Amino acid sequence: MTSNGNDKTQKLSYGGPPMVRIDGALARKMREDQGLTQLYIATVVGVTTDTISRWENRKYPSVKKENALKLAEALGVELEALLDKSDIQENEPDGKTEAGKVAKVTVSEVNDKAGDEPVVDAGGLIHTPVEKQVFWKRIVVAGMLLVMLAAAGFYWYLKGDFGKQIIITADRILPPHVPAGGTFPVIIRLGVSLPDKISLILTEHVPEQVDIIKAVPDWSASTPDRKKIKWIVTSGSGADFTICYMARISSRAKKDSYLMFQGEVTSSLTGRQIFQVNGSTGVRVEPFHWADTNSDGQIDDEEILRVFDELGDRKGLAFGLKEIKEIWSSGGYRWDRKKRKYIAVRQETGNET
Amino acid sequence: MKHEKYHFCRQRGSRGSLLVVRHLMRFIVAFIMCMVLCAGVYAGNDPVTAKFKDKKGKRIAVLVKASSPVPGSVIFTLKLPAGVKLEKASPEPGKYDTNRGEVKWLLRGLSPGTHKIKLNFSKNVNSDDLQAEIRYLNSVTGKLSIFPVGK
Repeated sequence: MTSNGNDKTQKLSYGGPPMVRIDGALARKMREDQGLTQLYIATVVGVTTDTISRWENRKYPSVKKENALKLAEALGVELEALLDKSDIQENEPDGKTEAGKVAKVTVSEVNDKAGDEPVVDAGGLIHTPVEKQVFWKRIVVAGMLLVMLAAAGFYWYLKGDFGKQIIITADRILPPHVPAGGTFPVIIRLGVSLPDKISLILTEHVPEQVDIIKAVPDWSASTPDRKKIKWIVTSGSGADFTICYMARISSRAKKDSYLMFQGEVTSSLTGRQIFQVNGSTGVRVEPFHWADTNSDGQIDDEEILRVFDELGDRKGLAFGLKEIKEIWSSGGYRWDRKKRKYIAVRQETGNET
Repeated sequence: MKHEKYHFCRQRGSRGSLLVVRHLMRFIVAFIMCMVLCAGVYAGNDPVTAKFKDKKGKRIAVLVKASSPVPGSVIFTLKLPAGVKLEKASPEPGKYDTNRGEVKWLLRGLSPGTHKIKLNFSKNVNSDDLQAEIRYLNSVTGKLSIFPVGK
């Protein structure tokens, strides 16, 4: 037997074995005319009797060319005699399995419903409507998967911390001056750029002449001499939070000396990156009240408003607000070095209510 | 013909400059209106305002109106006319300089709403003769804001 099938059957557009479309009814007729059983034909071709039955019961089943040749040989005819007149080739397996059966029926049904004719391209490749549909379906599915993947990646980028730079800000507020032996408040404001909760470690180094008396919140760790103190704090919902402590300058500190403070903030999310505490870096040892920022010997309206706005609502630390109010009311003050406290001095001769 | 053309050009030039002036005027008017509007909005957003409730008498009350966000602390300053003394006040002032006739209240923890300061003078006074002002730190700028008390 020679391959007299259509030349088009030698080519495939989307891979797979060469296929031919045979006339099923004709094949049955030829077999019955010769008194051959389906079992015989199946044995010669090398397929099951079910497959032979399916070929015969369908109008124009697509069969592997190799099997079609064996079938023709079993029936004692040329392959051409068995072929469908239109001799259209499909790129579908002949379906030895149940799954294949289902696939084949589907292809046939699609073709029957569509009624489209196969197209031969310039290279002689055959493109059946089903092949085209499958091809475009694959493209669409791949495209959808890509879009979903991109969307998931974008969501992860937006939702997660990936690509976001965490910025931690820390600002220290110190009074410009404090008398030797005097106490003063230190405020450190922390801010985190992320809305999520993160834990921070603030480390504050105070000068030798300065002792930290009390802090709110209380510190988490310190060296025995309290010159290096650490706070572990958790930022909440992106809001800024504050650490406040009261410190005392040694009575032996030299007048006009400038005492430097230094601090840094770290976080597990920022790796080894260290954020320096900005803002005020030091206080000068001068015989003026820490609230008397302009060193004019009295606490004026703006100075008392600033103190009360900043410290008025803070609990747990003794800032000396009552004393500050007395100084504001009196109009002046002096620093009592022995008692280590400010004494309100009435600068006006008028009566006070 | 040449002269006519020149004349035409001049006409166009004057019209153009007229248009520029007109647009400039419109811009200036719009700018002024914006400024007035902004000033109005800004004035409306004063967190603390005050005014004298009574016009005349030995007892005069001052109404201090606070709106959110209320500053942490506010200073109410009253300057007395010569010869007038403050005999009693509720709440009591934090500072009274009798030589200068200046009385100050440090008002802390004001809640949004109207608060009354009752003043008892040594003799009848006219609120027009009283000078008073409100001082607080602007929560945004941190600068001292001073507003006169309305009469």
